[in-house]
Amino acid sequence: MYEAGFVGADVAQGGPAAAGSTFVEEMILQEEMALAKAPPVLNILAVGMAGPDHQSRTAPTSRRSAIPPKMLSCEEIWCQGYSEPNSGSDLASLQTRAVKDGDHYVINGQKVWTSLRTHRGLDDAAGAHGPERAQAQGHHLLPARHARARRRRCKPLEQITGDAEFNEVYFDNVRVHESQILGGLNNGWAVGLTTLMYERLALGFGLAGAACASRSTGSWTWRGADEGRARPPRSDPGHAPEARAAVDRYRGVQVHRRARHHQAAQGELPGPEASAGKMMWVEGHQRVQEMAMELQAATRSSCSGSRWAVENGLWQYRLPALPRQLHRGRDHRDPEEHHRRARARPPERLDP
Amino acid sequence: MNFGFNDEQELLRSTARKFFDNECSSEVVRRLMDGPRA
Repeated sequence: MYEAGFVGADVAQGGPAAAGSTFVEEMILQEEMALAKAPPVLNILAVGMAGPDHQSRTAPTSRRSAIPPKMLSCEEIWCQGYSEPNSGSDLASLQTRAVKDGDHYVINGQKVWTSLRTHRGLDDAAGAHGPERAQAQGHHLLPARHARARRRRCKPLEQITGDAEFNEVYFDNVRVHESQILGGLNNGWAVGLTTLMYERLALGFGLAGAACASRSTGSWTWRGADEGRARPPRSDPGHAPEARAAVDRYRGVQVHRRARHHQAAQGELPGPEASAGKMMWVEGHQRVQEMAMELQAATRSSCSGSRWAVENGLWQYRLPALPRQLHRGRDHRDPEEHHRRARARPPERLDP
Repeated sequence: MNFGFNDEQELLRSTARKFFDNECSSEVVRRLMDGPRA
């Protein structure tokens, strides 16, 4: 997909969007991929979060091809180490340490709830090319891309569904050259915050549901109905209003995303307002998954691999949908706080 | 803020949609996802 120009269209050379295209063109391509039910971008943490952040801090917009090609081609799968045992996501209390040793930093510590760490592509490259970030003392962000595998161990956190969406990652005397610090020494807090703001945009790229609007809300149930194993929501008296509400909610998310991406295309770094889209998406996604389970009735307990499972058990992922409540973060308790911050914050712009 | 699409962006959208309609059926996606490069 990268070689065809369908990943990172705003930074790739050539391809259908060609040079000079922006987040908007990238968004268009991702929406069309979602409509076609193509798999979402795998390396979303690199393409949508770390890459743009790194790019905006290391190169002016006139040289925006600075995103490493291996990010776009998935030769390097990126993940980020924020949460730690006993620290949660409280970055001020992190225990992972980076100690200066000559022109290197030596990292020791443990991260938890790390996504994508065990993907097969990364395992293949773990010896020399598996990059990830370690948040360290003084809030540096260090890519541990060249660490040897035995010094950077990974333990999958297996869920009740059998999947391991998250992992624990251990750093054991991992050495990273000082030139690899992202955003400069003691600037990890600012880099991390901006990366998270890009996450709000990136999730809009990767989540097919928000992009597909009405078609995504209908397709799984119609297919289930054709197979005789689920009721179509729009003709089900108990769910038709909720199905229509889901379509409206997704369209709201879609409009919000487009506004945020147009802002980014104008050179404005995403701010607190970008988080509203994630809050909207989480609520909508949870409701749709709950409705999907209700409509499957007797087959709802059939998981992937069962001949009775609708869409091969796709919607049985309701279990992870519940913890997605955490995706909205603490501010979901006070949406007004989001609006207040968004209004008060002057826009931060990329370098000209 | 105008966040509609201009003519070039609409052309990109229609081109991508035609491409995926022709080249990215569910059967193709599932076959690729079952393959060694997935």
